[in-house]
Amino acid sequence: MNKRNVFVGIAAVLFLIVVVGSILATQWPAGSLGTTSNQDFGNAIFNEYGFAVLIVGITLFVSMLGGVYIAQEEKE
Amino acid sequence: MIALEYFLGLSAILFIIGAIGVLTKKNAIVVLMCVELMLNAANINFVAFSAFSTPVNMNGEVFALISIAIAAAEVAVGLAIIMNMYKTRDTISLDDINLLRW
Amino acid sequence: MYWSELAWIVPILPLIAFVLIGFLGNKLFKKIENGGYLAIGMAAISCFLSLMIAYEILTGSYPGGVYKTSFEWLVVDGFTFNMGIYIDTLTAVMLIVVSFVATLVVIYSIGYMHEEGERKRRYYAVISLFIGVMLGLVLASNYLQMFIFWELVGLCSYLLIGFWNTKPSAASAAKKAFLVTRIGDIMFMLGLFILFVGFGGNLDFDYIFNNVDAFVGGNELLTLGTFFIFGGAIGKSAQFPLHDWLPDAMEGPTTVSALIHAATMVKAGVYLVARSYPIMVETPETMLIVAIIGGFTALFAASMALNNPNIKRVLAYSTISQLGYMFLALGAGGYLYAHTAEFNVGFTAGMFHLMNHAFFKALLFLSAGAVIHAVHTEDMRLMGGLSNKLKITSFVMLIGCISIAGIPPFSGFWSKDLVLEAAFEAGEANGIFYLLYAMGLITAFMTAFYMFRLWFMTFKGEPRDHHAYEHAHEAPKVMWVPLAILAALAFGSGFALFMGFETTVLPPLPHFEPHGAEGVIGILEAFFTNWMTYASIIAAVLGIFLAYVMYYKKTVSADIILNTSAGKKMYDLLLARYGFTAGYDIIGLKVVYGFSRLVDWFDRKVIDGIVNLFATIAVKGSNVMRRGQTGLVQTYAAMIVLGVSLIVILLFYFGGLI
Repeated sequence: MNKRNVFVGIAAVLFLIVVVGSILATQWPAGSLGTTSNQDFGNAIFNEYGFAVLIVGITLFVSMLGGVYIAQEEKE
Repeated sequence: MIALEYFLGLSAILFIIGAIGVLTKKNAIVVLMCVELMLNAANINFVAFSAFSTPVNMNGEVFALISIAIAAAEVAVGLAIIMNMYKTRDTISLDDINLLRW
Repeated sequence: MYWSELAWIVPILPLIAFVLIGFLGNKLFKKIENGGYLAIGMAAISCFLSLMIAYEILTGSYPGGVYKTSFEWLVVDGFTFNMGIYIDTLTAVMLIVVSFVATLVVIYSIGYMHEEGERKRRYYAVISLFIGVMLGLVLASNYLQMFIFWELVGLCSYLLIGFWNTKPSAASAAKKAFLVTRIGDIMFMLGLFILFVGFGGNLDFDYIFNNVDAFVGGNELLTLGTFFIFGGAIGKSAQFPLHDWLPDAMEGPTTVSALIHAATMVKAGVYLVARSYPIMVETPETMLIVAIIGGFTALFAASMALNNPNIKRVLAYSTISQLGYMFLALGAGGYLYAHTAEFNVGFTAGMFHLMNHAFFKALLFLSAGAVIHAVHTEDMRLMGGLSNKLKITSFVMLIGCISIAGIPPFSGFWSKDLVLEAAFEAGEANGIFYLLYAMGLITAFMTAFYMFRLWFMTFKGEPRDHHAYEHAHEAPKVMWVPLAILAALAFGSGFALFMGFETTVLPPLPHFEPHGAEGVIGILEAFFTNWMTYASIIAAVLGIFLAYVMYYKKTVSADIILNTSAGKKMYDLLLARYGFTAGYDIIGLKVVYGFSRLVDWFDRKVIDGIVNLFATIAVKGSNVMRRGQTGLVQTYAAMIVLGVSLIVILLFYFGGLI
């Protein structure tokens, strides 16, 4: 029970209260759980957001390169 | 059916648990795992809003997909940094990394 | 083209001499007495111009009788301060006295200060500065200008008293003179403030003297104002209670004592009171105080001169006493005029005595300087029998002594008699003036006594110090010629009364025309049919006789008094100046110094403490704050979480988020 943990506990409780409070306090517009199909999902990611998916791919590639470079072994 | 507030509440609790883990744990890899937890909580939020929207649109779900991909990229780089940290300082306990102390 | 229009040159020339001698003296004038001749030259030209101007004003050749000119000097916030020149008959008298005595003293200084070496440059420079500013004071046309020159004169006095600045007694005497006259100057300034407020921001003599009724604030405020102005005169003219600086000022060279502390600077106070006559006669209470302080100081100072062994101190006390006479005359005359609105002889007596006293006191001091120059000591107990060796000095000093004692037909008699007459006449307005007359008469007796005691102890009898006696020699010609001129004036300046002094030197008051005695025969008649004349002659003769018996014939010895315990106590009391010097020392050391230490403690501990407190707060606070920089990422992340929650809560309550 060191000091930092107590402090973090209090901060977390406070944060919890704030977030849950704001969730409960807002008026959410009326709606019900809708269903989606995979067909629609595929259409969305390749037709509307295709460009974003490609950029994400490039990001993954760059992060892979970065990770390999940072974690290199020392060469003699 | 299940109302929207429950999904958001679940997301909030997961987020808090992830935040407590990030702020408290000493092991750097455990901290990274808790960061993943926080990102997942955010994803739940996105998907919940997307499901409850009228007319139903796919924006939330697509964004959740992209968020998962970015989380993966971030973990890759983070683990590489932790490996570097271990190589230079021989420890991965976050309590020992305090060069910016007064 | 009138001589008066050149009046602005008169103070400028000595000031030019000051600048030249002061800054270039050692380079240019080494061969010619380090600038002494330049000082004489400028003083002489100023003297010539002053005499011409005085002649013109006194004979009424200048239309209107008063020369006035001024120019705007400072315009501040609606108030205009002028600088200018105002010459009336009063100024003319002062011009004659100041310029003539100053020139003679500077000529004498060539001989007296001959062995001083490089320091002569400083001496001649400051003497020239003094002559310049004293003439400026006399020619001033408004109170502010007069005050400026008043302060400058005090500065020159300080510089010259402390001329031998390596002597600690001289340095502290200079400091004392400056501080004591400073008290007077502060009172003068307060008086100026009151006049400034009362007369609507205009301090010109011309305006004030013609519009005395325009004073705003009532007669009580005007009385306070004139009293403060007289306070300045008390300081500058060394009257009781600010008299203590003048005997100590004898630490300076004798020529300085002659010029500044006998003939000119100390007269500035008398000049101020005489100049302020039109406003002072509106406040008879102040005039009464002037007369009382003058009369009391005359007696008080004369008593301290009775047994002093130092030749210059005796002359210093004599100066204070004679200045008391002048204030007594001015005060009595003013008081009587305030009650009867008729001519009386007080103003004339005061100014006449001023003129005569300047001449014979300068003579006495300069001949004392010749004696000191001859025997190298100031203690009269080491002198004696010098009239065989210093024939000229002894003779001229005798003339000076007879003149100050008041024996006719020497000048001192005429003026002293007029002073006593003025004091007695004022008795009809207030009985206290009879008491002041009696004090004046006793002072006349004492004056004759101590002056002849001085003369007999110095010049007659057996030499008490044979070594000094053997080496004594007569003064060189450059020293005894001014003495001879002054002796002639000490004898003859009284005859100015017959040349119409009484009718020309008048203050600008309404209904102040003289009546009665006209012409030489008339004046002589008025004098010698009055019983008071004979009373003062008898007092003087008695004093001379007592001194003769005690110090020449030695039949009555001073030891008779000294052998009684009361006599011994009196002797010590007089030498200690009635304890005033010790008293002022205590006030200065205990009270003022103690208070200043308190203030210093306050400044160091409290005021500096507050400043240091702020610094300490900053340092201690920062020491606490820096513990927050742990260097751990998780701490910072916790701060972020906490901060976000707080912001949302604050927005919730104060911003109306939900």
